[in-house]
Amino acid sequence: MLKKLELGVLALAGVCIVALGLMITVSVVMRNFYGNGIPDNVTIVSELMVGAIFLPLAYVTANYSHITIEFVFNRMGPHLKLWTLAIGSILSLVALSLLALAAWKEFAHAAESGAYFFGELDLPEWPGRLAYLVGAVLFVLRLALICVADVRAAVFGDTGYLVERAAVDHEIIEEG
Amino acid sequence: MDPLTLGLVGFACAILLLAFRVPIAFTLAGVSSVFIFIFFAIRRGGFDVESALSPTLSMIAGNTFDLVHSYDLSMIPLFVLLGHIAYHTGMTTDIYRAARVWLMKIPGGVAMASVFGCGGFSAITGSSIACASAMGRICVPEMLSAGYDKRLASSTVAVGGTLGSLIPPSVLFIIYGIFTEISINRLFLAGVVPGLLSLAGFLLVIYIWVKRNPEAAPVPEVELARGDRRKAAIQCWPALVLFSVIIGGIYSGVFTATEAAAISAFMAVVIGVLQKRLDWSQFVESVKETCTQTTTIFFIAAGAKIFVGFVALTGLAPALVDIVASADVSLWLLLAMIAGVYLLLGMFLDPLGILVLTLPFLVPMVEGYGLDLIWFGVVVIKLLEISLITPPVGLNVFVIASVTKPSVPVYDIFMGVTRFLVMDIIVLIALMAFPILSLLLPNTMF
Repeated sequence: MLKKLELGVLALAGVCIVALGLMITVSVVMRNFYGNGIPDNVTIVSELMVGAIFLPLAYVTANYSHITIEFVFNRMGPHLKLWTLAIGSILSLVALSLLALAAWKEFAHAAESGAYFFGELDLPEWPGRLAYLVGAVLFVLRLALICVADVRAAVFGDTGYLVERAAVDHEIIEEG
Repeated sequence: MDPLTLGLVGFACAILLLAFRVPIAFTLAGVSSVFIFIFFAIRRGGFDVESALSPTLSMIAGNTFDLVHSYDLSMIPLFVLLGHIAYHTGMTTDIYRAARVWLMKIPGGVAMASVFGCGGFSAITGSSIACASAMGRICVPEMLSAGYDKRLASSTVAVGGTLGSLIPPSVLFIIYGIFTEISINRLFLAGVVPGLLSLAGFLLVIYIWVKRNPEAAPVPEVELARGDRRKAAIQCWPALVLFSVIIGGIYSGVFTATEAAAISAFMAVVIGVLQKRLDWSQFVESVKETCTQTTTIFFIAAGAKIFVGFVALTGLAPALVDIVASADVSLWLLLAMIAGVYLLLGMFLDPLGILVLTLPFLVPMVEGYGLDLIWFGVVVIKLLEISLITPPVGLNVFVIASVTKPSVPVYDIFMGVTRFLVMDIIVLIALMAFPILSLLLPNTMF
């Protein structure tokens, strides 16, 4: 279920990137030929940026695509590696849950107050905040699942788990 | 606990978590969020959780959402998209193929073509690692089959890939621009001359290497047909057009860096479709890769922004500036110390990680000395470029070693890279001594 959601919001993020690229291009063309660009172009592109960046956060986390430093880790034994991953995951989950709370606070404030951007279209502020919230919540959920898997592998001493995790890493490096 | 001690403990925790393989973004965002919370909880004595939560959440939202909610920074996903489209349509490798045809008959010509190709590839894609991965598969086997010395063959691709950090569009420059709040247009232009200087330096190293040891690069026994050179040059026009649009557009003031990013990405798609080198599945794949890469970059930047907020709260950066000021360190000693720190960190950390970890401390220090932040940005990016090939981590070297078939040992690549490192140091000193090399283009900008 979470995987499907991650793929769905990833597709949405892709649409955001294509849309913001088109918005800017069309605006430059219109400005040069007709004297003015798309109304509230800057606000719309900024809102699309939020979707483009925050929505794929859970997908990126699920694929372990975040940049890590391996120098010390590579010199550890397999059991120490498992416990290091588990402790790191627990700390990350606890600390980064604050991000989801912050996103909720931002969204709730924008939705309740009916805040909008001053401009020709007076666009509401909540859509960007919603994308921020959805991205942050899915990210924390994915982080929780990874945390459970890491802790389980550490408790049971499942060193094969390190190979599985590395295989996911490797696929991403190959793709990149 | 006083704020300064809290800052030092937080910094130590961040280093510890990084060593424990916690992603850079998680470390920066997580540590700073928790320590900001502690800062607000203990500021009036005791531990007041209730009054700490609201300002902490505001700081987190302010530094993550507000960073991303930006028109100007939309250039990052667009330049990344441009890079992926150019890669999938083969525009990036065309530069190498054209340079190879042109330079093939001169000693060390294929190695020089590799440097040109890697410079062009990494400039368009903005990724040294992607360049090393893609070009390592193409250039190194070709040079090895032509009888090139394995150290020369592998190291030219490893160093060539680093050029993309200086030649625009460079993601590292954009991140530097975010943190120093200076014009990314001017930073891009500032990187052009130093990038070309580095390129010329690498070509000179190859020339001297082959002059002293001609067996290292035998001239291939291939006869070129009439018109081959012209054909090869014509084939790489898309890459040249895109590069001209980006640099020319920004320099002439026709459009901003963000608009240049959108227009060049749009043009890359149109050219790819018209040339029948880009189909729907490649386009979707490019967009998907762009989403993944951009989110990774932005999450690190967002984490670093919260970290900067934490450093500011604790007064850690001003304390460091005071220490340096009271020690009455000369400018050259300061620059030498900064270079030393970067080269040391480069042995263990990724360039983006080094940048976001050091800028909160270095920028106030450099401003205190009244130095130009654009010039300093070029020096910093050059140092990061060097860190990509320094042992024991040297990311580019490891990527080359892992993708090249037949495999070239890491030791041999590092040995080959050493000669280029000497040239890199010379270029770095020139950039430090003559700021005009970096500031010439931005100062004459429209």
